[in-house]
Amino acid sequence: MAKVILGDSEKWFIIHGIQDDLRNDGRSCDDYRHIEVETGVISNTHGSSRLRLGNTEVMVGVKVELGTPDPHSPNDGLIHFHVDCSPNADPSFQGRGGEELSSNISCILTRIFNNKTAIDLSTLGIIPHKQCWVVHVDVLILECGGNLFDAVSVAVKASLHNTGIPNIQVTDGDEGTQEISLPDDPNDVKFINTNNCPLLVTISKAGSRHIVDATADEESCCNASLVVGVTRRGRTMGMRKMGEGSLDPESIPEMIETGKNIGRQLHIALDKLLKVEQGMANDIEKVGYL
Amino acid sequence: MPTDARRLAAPDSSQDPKLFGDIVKPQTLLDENEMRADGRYMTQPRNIFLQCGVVSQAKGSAYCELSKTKVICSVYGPKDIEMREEFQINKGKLKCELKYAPFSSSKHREHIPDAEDVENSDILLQAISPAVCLQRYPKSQIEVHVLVLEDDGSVMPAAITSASLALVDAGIEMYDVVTASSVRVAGQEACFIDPISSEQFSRASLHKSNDINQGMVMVALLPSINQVSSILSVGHLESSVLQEAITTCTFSAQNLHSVVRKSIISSFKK
Repeated sequence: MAKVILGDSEKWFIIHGIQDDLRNDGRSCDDYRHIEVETGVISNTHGSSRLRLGNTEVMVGVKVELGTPDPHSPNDGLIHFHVDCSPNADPSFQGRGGEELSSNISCILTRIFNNKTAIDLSTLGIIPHKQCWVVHVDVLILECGGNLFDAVSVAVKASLHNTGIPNIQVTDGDEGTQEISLPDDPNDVKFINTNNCPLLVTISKAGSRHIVDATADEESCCNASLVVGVTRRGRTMGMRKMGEGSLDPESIPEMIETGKNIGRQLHIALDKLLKVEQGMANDIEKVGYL
Repeated sequence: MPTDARRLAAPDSSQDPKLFGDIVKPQTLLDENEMRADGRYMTQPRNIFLQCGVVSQAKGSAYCELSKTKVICSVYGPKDIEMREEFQINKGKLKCELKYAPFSSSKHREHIPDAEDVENSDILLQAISPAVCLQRYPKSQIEVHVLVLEDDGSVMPAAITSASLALVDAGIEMYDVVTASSVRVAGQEACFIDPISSEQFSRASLHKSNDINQGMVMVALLPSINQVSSILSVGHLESSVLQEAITTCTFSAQNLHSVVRKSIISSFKK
């Protein structure tokens, strides 16, 4: 990960601040930074979003293509996550430098979507064993300002919400074959149901307290954090400890509880925004990446 | 797909023939006598076998067997850092690799590590690094290689436990050993300790669309200093169920401590 180099005294200053529930930017331990989300920003995608959280900037584009289903679940569609860390965000991402971080992020996304409810993949099936929709979610990290996991998951949910899949018709052709026909109208699409789509909440342990939405500076002071996938109803979908430190077993229930509450609030705020965005459709001018 | 030109080329993609047959999978994890597929009770872990010093060339090594799950681990180092970027003046670098033998699982595994292998290696690294006193090994690296010979579920806990045992065998300074355990959650109050392959959670194995409280949880523990070094969960779980599963896992990992200690002592007596 892009590391900020801090001296010992700077680290102690941050940790003591957290201990007193007052962080460097004036937030308390459970406060999130301001989030900006915009959907439908890239014309060549089926769904897209751009997110800014403090100094973290993430862009997500979703493309849906036709493919063959996984033989383990022949009736379902597929969803793939690819994360790319741009060297613009941090010079250390040059070449293969960003690979570790991007594989970490895509693995945790795969982990939280690895169940039947997050995205109902059976709605993406077309012809069992033969054809299905393959959803490619491509995440581009443009700036690292801490808390990448949460930022990416919010952007992914926003872009999936915005994703329109063409309403295709399957008709029986000659000799038992089946034919797929696309609608003529490009706006004849169905939207993916994101009601149960989880969001990631990273709870970082610093000193004896834990914080959410850590900035890059704070991240370098924390050596263990818990990344939890939370649904709108406050259930968990996948969790992983990150970092090279260890956690006190007594603090884990508290951390999960914090993650659950923060996750619910995030969902409510995001859903409200997505509803507004959807209503406005094409009326507003997109800001895009500045 | 990247291929390895040095090996004989197999077909680009192939499937397990079992997928095309009509094999009836058991619908439930418990039979009518409250027994699991391999004749265990729900909260009964498999018998574990641990041994140190199985690879003579390595600085330290360990072998772990949980019935049909077989894992071998060797530790090399401390030695010079190979890559200049990884050099640290005040602490050492721990490197982990978890590799499945191509024939270890029900499907054929590729020789080239895929995304899952990379994630597994990273999970292993994060689970054992809190236990190693890396500040005692400045400017050097310690390599941990875990090879899964046979996979019948709960590979990660076996890998973590054997890696910590191999580090002890190599004489690396540590705060504590690491023991790990996993459970399969199936419903409100059903935690199956130490699941076998057929009991493991996978999206394709779920029959109903309602999959609440179906999943897996793994916990790695430093048992003497009571610290959790890794938590991993997958599946749709209510937080009360998740916490219950974490407690079960922690307890089960704690129980492994005496076994690990015994095998360390017996390796020194030799």
